[in-house]
Amino acid sequence: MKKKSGRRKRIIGRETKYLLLYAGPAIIYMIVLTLYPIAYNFFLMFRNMDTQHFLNHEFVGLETIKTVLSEGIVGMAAYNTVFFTVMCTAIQFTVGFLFALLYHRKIKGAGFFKGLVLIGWLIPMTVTGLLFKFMFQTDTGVVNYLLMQSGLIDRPVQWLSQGGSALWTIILANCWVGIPFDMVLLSTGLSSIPENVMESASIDGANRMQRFFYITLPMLKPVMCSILVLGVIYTFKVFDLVVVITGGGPVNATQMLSTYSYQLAFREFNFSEASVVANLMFALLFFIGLAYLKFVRSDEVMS
Amino acid sequence: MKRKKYGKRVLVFALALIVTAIYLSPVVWQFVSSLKKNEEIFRYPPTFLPENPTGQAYADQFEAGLFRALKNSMIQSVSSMALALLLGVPAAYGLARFSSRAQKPILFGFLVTQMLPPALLLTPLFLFYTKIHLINTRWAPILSTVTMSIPFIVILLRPFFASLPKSVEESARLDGCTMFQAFWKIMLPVAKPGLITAAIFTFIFPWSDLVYSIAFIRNADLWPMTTLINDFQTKYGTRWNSIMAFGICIIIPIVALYIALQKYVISGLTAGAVKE
Repeated sequence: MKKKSGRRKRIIGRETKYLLLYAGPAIIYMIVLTLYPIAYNFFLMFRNMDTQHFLNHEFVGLETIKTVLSEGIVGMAAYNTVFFTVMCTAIQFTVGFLFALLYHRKIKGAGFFKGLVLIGWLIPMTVTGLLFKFMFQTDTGVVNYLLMQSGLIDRPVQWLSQGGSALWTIILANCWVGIPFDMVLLSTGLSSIPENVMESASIDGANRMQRFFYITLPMLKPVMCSILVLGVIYTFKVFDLVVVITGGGPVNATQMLSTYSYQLAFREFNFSEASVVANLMFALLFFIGLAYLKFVRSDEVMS
Repeated sequence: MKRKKYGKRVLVFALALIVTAIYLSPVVWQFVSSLKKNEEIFRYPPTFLPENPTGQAYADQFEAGLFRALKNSMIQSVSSMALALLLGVPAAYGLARFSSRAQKPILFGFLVTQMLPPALLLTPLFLFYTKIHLINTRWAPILSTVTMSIPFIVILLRPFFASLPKSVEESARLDGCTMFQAFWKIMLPVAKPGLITAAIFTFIFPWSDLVYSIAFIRNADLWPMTTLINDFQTKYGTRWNSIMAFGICIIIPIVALYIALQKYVISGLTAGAVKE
């Protein structure tokens, strides 16, 4: 035992050297272009960098943070981001699951169907956003036409000029992109459940529902967890869809933290205020990450 | 009994067909609309097939600078892909092959950085690029999109390299290969399927990017397709046939890649979800 650990110590030194030789450039790259920017956001938050103080910005304590809070938009942006993330994650997971269950049935062409649906995920968000904007136009939009034809509405709905329906249009667009992603991952999970487990359960008299709730769901639990976490992380990033569909409007009703931060920095050139919003995003993500880690750990203890 | 089962199977098949068709109907609508004249788009009730299918909307795009934007998108995506592979593949290999106490924290770092929203980095990156005079050049979005690709490559390829038997490499070294030759000549060819997946995705990320190009490039001559179409719609918001046609042009290279290399795309998709 002793001899082994002594040998290992020497190897660790050498192996670390090789590891850094291969991974070093990538690590340095990420430090310069992600870690440093994150740290710089914190530095910037306590200063007053804007167009007037671009080079001679100075420490102002909590002033910038107070200004951002007093403008009153950041609260709405935070609420929208969280609402959007929760709704999208839940809806695309549910629908994606239904798709996965449907394609999992032994039917001809299931693989082909799955492959086709995945195209929705591959289309750049900018294009998807424009497509949904086109479909949800008040006068020329095909959605209003279909809803009127089917008698669900008697007058065209102004989807994009009201805050609530505009937000839901973006949610729908995002779910359309997210459904295939969840579907593919859940399909992989479904096909990893051994068939003999299912067979023996049905021999024991379990019906379809019972098999779903007592076998499928528990066995899919790890997959479902990682899909939900990935869903939250990907949805939280939302930017392209909002910029293209509403630009954050009408009157900030669909403003997200990402678009608000962008607007502050690149429309109003108020870099310090933008960094405050960015840091709020970071803090929210940090708590999501912590919750995930805690969740995973308690799960490991249980099993 | 058997007939009943068969009937049920047909029913499920029909359901799958309908669901798939409904899901894809927006893309079909996009394509149909791109073949219309704009007057027809504003007609009520809408026509579900173009009356006189015309490629006019596509032809218009060439005047609107489609070629230049296509070239810009290509340059950005290929450069970003090349740089990401150059940095990411050796990193994935190193993290798979050499065990060290540093391994776990480094991996964790890559996992975390993959989760960061680009909007978080915009302001500091803008100031950084301004300082080093890269703002308003292609390099700004290229360097930025690589930060999404490197963690992806590491997460995707590390298990790949780790699953390849170490003995292959060791026997190569006994035959007189240097460590680098063993990596280059033995490991890389064996890891080819993983590398193809990595290449596809690190091409798609920058191809789809809007946020970095819109924030860092003001010179319209350098805009990739996503940025140009966004600008186009803010200027000519009602020329829907052109906007839809332009959108189709952005999609085509990606769908072509997907059709040619479908299994690699799906393996890349599931890779991100595998817990470390």
